Formats: sequence, structure tokens, C-alpha cells
Amino acid sequence: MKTVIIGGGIGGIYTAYYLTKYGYTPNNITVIAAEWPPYSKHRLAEVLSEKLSIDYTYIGIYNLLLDKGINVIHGVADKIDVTGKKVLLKGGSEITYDNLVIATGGKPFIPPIKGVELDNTMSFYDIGDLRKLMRIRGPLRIAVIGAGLVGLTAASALKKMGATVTVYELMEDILPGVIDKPLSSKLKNYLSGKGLRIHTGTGVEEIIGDRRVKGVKASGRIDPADIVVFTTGVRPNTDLVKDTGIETVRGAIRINRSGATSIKNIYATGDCALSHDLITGKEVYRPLGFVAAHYARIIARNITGTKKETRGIVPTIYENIGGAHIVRVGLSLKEAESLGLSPTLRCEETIDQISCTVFEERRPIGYEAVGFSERIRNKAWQVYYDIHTLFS
Amino acid sequence: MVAKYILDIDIEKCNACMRCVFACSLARSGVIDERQAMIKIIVEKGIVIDIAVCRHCDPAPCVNVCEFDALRVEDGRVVLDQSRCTTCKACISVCPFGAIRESYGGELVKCDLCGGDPACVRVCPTGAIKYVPAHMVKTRRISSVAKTIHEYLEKIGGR
Repeated sequence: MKTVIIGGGIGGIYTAYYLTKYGYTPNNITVIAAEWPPYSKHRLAEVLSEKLSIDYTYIGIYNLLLDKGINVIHGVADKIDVTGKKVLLKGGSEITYDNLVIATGGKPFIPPIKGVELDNTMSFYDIGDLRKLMRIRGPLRIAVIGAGLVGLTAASALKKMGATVTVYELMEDILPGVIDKPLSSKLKNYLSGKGLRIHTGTGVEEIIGDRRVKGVKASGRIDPADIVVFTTGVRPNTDLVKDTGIETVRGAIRINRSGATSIKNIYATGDCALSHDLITGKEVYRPLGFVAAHYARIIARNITGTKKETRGIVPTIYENIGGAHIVRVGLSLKEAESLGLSPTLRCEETIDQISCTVFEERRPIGYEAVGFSERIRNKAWQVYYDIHTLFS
Repeated sequence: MVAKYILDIDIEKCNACMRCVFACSLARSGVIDERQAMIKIIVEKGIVIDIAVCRHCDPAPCVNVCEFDALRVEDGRVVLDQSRCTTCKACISVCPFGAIRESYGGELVKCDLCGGDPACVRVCPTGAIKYVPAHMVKTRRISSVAKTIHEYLEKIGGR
């Protein structure tokens, strides 16, 4: 039995790891990786701001997998032949499979505004973007578009490098998908106080320039800028599954609770696929590393013969942005609303922390906190276990 | 079975001399560098408000959330395997003690009890950090959190 994994990112390599852990013969595993060694996107900002070697981004597990004897093909999958059970690679070679795992990841979404094609516009998504930003010298004005977790960590890192950074967010609040208003307004004040310029409720209308970026036009005025970094979200990278009959929903591969797609013996995990929310049981698109690894484990279980279904994911998120601790466990008020619930929010504030618990019919379904001291202590763990007790 | 030993922390006795932090960093990385230490003394307005270090909960929330097999309980210690960690930081979000921290390049660090002879305990001059059998820590305020974790997990039957 041969298992082919398309993608050398988190979903791909952790599927390989769990397969070997559950007794699958390493030599029967082939990973098709466009980039190798595998690296962690969670480390890009740190490596950038601390001027470290790119080696710091690599995930050590690849050595273990190579030692065990898994096969790695450095290449790009071009086509999946689901009837012939084979993957065709760019350059002409092909490889047959008994089980296929699609872990092709995501791609950065760039909004369709005028000027995005100019030089010096980029995303902050992969190791290529990191390399580009590492080459920057001298004082620069950088516009970061999108104040999500990636945008704010990037902005904070770029500021640490000495750039003058301005962040633009279309929504009314920063971290719109992560935390709710009472927390995000505190965080915005804190970060502004640290010298990060943040414009919320501000849609960027155009990138101004003549071959190179000269400025950003937003809310009718033009701010000068030398570089524009888009951190406006991630979309599934699933061109490969077009015309294969594998079911997708708005571009993301639909998987069941065993990680299987609509075609037998084909699985998918990571930013290319949907996942299940534990609380509501609904399908969601959450392009997060631990979601990829969660399904990688489930898929490996099923391939190695233990039927296993996931109960779904409880998001557990932490980030340090400019010295502020951001914690989110379970659903935020906004995410809960978008999933059809009618939640309420109860907040507490101390001298160095604001925290809110999200309730649905008196049951806790989420917790979020923003702390401003060195201390990271909160009740997230309690809510995490409450959710598991109540909804599993 | 050998009795499980863990760190017993009494912040009242801590005078923030930083010996534990420096000893920890030296033991871990051979240099004195706060960011490489797995223990952190948190001082606010001149008062020690916390000594952030792993209490080796068992069962442990961080082990429960780790999807990468990077955290596990081994001989009563919660250990972090760097080679499997991707810095997703889910563990930090649920740690009741703020005991997992980011070091250089986003590498996560946490106390591993120095394999059974913690450097911080050796150098602590006030007795704020002691290495004692786990059952002796029961009456302390901090262990009530660990107890609650245990009760929570018993209720839900672990993972």
C-alpha cells in the first residue's frame, strides 16, 4: 500500500509523521514537496525582526522522517488522475498511489484594487516573502493592509526592524476574526501608543505609483509608502483538484470527520480543506496549522486501519503582538454569530488585562483575553475544558 | 515507582534576585540570557507578582491541545520536543501558569526540571523555589489549579 502526500507543509509532513508513528512503513510514504525543508509560518515574523537565519523557520521533524526512510520528491504536482490512481508531476513524471493525501495549503488573497501589480507590493505569507523583506535596507515606509493576526505580527516585526509602519483595516476593529470589540479597541490603543499607526474602518482604494510603489490611497487621502504588504487573508490552493470530481465548497476541499474527500482513498487536510467546528458541528474554513495537524492525525489513523472520526476543533490561539498577549479559545462573539448562534459577551477588566467569556444560553463557548503585562495568566484553560465537557 | 517531584513556588519568599533565571539560562544554553530561561520572575511596581514556570500538571492542558505530538508527560514531567514543535502557540493559550514562552526565532521554551536536578532550586537563596515530592505541594494555592485541571479532565475523560 502506497500513500502519496501532495504538499510538504504542516498538513503534509505531519500526516507522514503520524503514519510512521502508527506503524505505516515509511518507505511506502512519498511526499511531493515544492519547498523543502518544511518550515513554520509562525516563525517568519520573529526571524525577520530578530535578523536570524532562515534556518530558524525549519521544523526539525523532517530529519526524523528522512531518517525513518520516507521518500521526498522535490517537485510540483500537476494533475491527479483519480481513475488511474496516479499523480502527474510537472516535468512529466508520475507516481501511483493507493491512498492520496492532498495538503496543498493555501495562497494569500490579494484584493482586486488598482496598483497591486506594482513592484514592491507583496504578501507576508511564505518563506519567499520573508527572503524579500530580509533584503530590505534603510529606513522605509511600509503600508500593511489587513490587521489580522498575520498583519499585526508582520507590522510589529517590521516596526522593530526600523520601518515606519502604517496598518490599514477595512473593518471597524483590528483582529476582526480573532477577538471582539472591547478587546480590540484596547489593543489598538496600546499598539498606537507604541508607535504603530493603525487606521481602522479604512479601505485602501488604490496603490499609487509608477512601476514602483509611491503611496497608498485610502479614505480619499494619499499616504506615502515604499512597500505595500498585503495580509488580507488566505484562500485554499486547490487548482489541482479541478475536474477531478473531488467536492469543494468555495474552493476548499470538503472532508468528512475522518478527513476523507468525496472520492474513496483520497484525503485532504490543511489550508486547502474545510474543517469541523466542535461547538456547532459546522463546516468552517480555518487556515491554521494545528487544524492541519489535527486532521493529519485523524487521516493517518484511518489509513493505518483504525476507524477514527474527529469531534471537531476548538480553536486555541495565542499571539504576542508588540508585547501584548492575545489569547482566544473557542468561538469569539462574531464567529459564533456567523455560525448562527445568538451569543452574549461578559467581560472583566483588571489593571493589566481585559478578558471576555462568550456564552450561548449560559454555556461558555469561548474566551478571549488581551494582556499588557509580562504575565500571561487567564482562564482560557478552564473555558477550553468547559467546552469539551459541554459539547463533546 | 519513584515519587514524582515538582517545583514548589512561594512568591512571598522571592526577592527577584534573578539567580534562578540566570542559572536556568546557563543550564539550558550555556549563556546568561533571560530570553533563553525557562523561568521568569514577573515584577510589577517593585513587587514580585509571579514566578512563571511550568508546574508539570498531569494531566496537562498544554499536552491536551498539542496537535503536533511535541508535548508529552514523561516520568511525571511535561516535556517539549523542539523538533516536533511548529510554534503554533496553542499550548501558551491554555497554560494556567503562563509558563511556556517564546525564545529566539519563535522557539518555545518550557521547564524540563533539568532532568531531575533543577538549576534554579540549587541557586535560590530564599527557598522561594523548592523541588519537593508532588504530594507535598497539595496545600498550596497554585496546586488548586492543578487539582481543578485534574477534576475537569476526569469529568470529560481526557482526550
